[in-house]
Amino acid sequence: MTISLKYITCTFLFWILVQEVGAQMIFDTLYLDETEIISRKYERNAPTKTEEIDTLVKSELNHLSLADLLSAHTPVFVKDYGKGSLATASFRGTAASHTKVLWNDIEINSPMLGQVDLSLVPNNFYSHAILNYGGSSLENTSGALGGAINLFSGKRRSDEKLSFIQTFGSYKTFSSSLNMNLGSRKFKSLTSAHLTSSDNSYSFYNNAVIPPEWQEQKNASYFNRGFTQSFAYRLSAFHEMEIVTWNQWNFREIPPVMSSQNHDNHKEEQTSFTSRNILKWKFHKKNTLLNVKTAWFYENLDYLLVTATSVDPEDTVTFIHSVNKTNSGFVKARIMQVLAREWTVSGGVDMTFHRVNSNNYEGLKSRNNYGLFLKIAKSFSDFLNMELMFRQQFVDNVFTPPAPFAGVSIKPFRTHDLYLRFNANYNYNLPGLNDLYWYPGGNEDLKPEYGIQYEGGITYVKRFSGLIGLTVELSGYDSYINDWIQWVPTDYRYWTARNIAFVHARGLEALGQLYGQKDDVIYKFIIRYSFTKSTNESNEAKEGGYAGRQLIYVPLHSGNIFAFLSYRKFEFTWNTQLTGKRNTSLNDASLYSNVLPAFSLSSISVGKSFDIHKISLEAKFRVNNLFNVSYQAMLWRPMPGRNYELFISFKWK
Amino acid sequence: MKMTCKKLYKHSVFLLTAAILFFSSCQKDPEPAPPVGEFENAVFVVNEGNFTAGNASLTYYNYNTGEVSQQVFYRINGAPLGDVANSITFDENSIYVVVNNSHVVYKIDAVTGKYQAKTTGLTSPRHLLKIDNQRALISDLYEKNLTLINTENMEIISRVPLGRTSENLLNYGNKVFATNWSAFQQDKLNNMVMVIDTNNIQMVDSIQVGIEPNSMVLDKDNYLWVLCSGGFLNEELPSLWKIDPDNKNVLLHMEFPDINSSPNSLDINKTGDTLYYLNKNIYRMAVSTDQLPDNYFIRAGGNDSFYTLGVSPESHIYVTDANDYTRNGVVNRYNPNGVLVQKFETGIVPGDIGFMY
Repeated sequence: MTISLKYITCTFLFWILVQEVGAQMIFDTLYLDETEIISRKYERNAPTKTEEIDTLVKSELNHLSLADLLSAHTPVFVKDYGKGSLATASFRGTAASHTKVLWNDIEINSPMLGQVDLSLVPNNFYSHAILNYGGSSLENTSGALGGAINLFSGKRRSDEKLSFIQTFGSYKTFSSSLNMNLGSRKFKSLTSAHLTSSDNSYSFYNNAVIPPEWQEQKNASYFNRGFTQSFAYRLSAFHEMEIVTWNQWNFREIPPVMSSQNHDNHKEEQTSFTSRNILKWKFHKKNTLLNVKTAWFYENLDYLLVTATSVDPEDTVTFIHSVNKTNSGFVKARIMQVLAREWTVSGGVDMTFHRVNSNNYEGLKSRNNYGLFLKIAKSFSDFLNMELMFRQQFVDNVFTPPAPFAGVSIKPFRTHDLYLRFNANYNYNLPGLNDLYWYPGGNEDLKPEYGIQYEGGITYVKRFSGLIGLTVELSGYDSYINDWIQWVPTDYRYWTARNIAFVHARGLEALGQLYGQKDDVIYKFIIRYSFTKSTNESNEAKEGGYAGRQLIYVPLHSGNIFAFLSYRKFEFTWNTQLTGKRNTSLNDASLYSNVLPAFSLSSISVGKSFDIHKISLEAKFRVNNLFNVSYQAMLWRPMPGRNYELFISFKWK
Repeated sequence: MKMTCKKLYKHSVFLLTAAILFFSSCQKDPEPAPPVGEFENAVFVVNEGNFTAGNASLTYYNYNTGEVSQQVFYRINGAPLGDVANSITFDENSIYVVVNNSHVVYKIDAVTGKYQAKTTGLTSPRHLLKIDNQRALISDLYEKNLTLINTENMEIISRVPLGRTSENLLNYGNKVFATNWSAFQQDKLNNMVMVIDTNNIQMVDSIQVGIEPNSMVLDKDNYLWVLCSGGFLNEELPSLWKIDPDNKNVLLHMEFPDINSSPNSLDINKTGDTLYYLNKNIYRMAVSTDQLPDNYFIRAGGNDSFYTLGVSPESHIYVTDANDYTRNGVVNRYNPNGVLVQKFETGIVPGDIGFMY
């Protein structure tokens, strides 16, 4: 492995050195409507840590899911049961339910589980993604004790009128992605469609059975397809209406754990349909911005487990069919006013209604949530920015305690782009409806989890002569989550949800980014490292002797690097992600199976594009898991070894 | 602070190389497993682990020295025990471990613990019972058959139709008694003990007991005692039954007063005169009495959640505590007077105890 790595590295470096460099392109040029620019200032002098996922990185993975993107390129830890299987995200040592995913500002977390399956979010269904770390999420949603991911549909200036990507991958994996942008100054239509399927029958060395043997992954196929459509109409210079819909049909098989020695009479699968629809009205005049969104989301999730006896495949012995239908309605209104002397005031109301019909609940269950939001921001020229936020919720006729936020950012030197930021906040996460109503074990007396978080950070940005830029960023946080919900056993034979843990999560996040161009050469290099310490400090944990021990499936160290190089119409990318060792039980790490070892995964791609008038054709070849690392992201869940993808893309500018 | 392009390239090249090498070299090998010595004075605790997590394990305890070794199956054989290990049985040369949700029964060496053979092709195996030198029966939570295997090579010989699912197995003379613990996959009530003739390996009779018979033992007078929990949803009062296995007559039927209680883990001492069981606390009763004890023998502490009980040949009482089911459990070992002798750690959810002496 080391020899091949050195060889590749040397070749890559040689390639960088011998090329003549030139200038042509600027990264991250983002075109948004002017109203959006007012409402979304992702500026370095913000008092919170907010980050947009690099457009170049996103375009590299546009045919994959949000899970793939986050795990390879952000500090967000993705808990992944295997390719195409359930994948959830956790920020900063918190749980998946503490990560809120929003689509055009509306939360798409399942009201039942409180989390989102990121492997079912195709990257070509949104134009850009914003990560809100910790308290910065409070502006858009509540309960994101770790952070939030906000996905936006919209058009970038650089976007093509039509683009189509077809990929062919190992294990009979195919994906097709289509994006189409039409319209005039007044009317815009954005369409995207995605279809992906895979047999997912990769080979793995099964050392969980005796004697160990090479096996092919079974019952792991998936087939997902969907589309998004947006129609936007500018009624006047000040008014704009938009309707946007996201519809998706998913099917996946759920493979057994590696130690299972009875594959043939086992069928476990999940089928789902989601329809998410938003109607937006936007008014913008001078210093006033008014934004009203109403939405209706529907989800139908079927889980099926059928096993037969080993004697007769027709003799069914287990039949579990779980049917879950969710209807959610949202109203979200925001008004923002820019006042004199660099004061900005914004406020809004949020209304959310969930209705869940599940054969795992006793009857129809619902949740009505009303929220009030206020924000005051003040700038003192370039030197100082201050923000105060406040959020209040009224959930099922009960007020949750208020969630305040205060933050400040300082730019100490006028001539240097050095920024310091500090913030602190309270936040509340409501229990999922499963926690409340699952039969048996749901607990209607659960309280919301509440978190206190402190964050500080420093960002340094330097532009050098020509078009070379450097960004260095370091953030630290310290957070406490009380009444953390866990399922615990009871005297009866089922488990129940209880507010049991008190979790202390703290850590550091570092980012270094360098980009530049000279003549025909464009390059970009991003490196990240995260240190995450997350421990249960409750009395139960202290009595049980596991206080201070890292929570399960939270790596202490993680990081990734991304390198991009293009020369004329050739391009090359390298990505390596590191996941440190993870505990899989609360017990001592001295026993082997209580800890999963660290792993690093690398992928490379090489591409060449051809331009014919307004049409651009590109062929790209990608190698995933370049060093054929055998690893487990979850205990005894096999992952694919080295595998390949071929892309062919067609773009019409 | 002005950095020229050239310098910057050098820096970037250095950074890139360093980072790629650092990140790519972080793959670590698993920690080497320490060796386990030969089994002596062995008590085994079968740890179920968590359903679908594949973290079942085997704990070995030397009752003489008090030493405990965790994860011995993994450390000896280099593979995990599997998903939801359920029970352990012994013969002279081998140990049999039934791993329910891995659908396998492992046969390992009784001295070294090394893998010898396995039975696959099972649906949801629960217990194994040797019926002679070369054959054993395996019960099944979902199948309405017992599986007869050859214990030399662990291959399946035949299936034995029961019409019901099966749980505990007990040998008496040329009969095997099998409890019908689970109502799953059957339209009949789960309140039977089935009788299998080992001469022709056929079910020949059945005895009605209470709902959900979860454990049974044979006493010194060869009477069969069967403990019934009353059902998953507490359908009826839990009960303890005394049966004459020769003529299938029910001699005693004692009901527990609390319908919400769920007594389990009936066991007996080596002399066959004292019964033990769990009902939150540990209870004991002489086989000569015809009344359930009012008072516990050993009380569970405030944080204890006793899960399984086993009585050793020298009448020490071993009781497992699954803690919160997500971290390692413990076993309390009491002497025959109920005095705590030792407390030792196990794996996750210790669900069965086996005494190999």
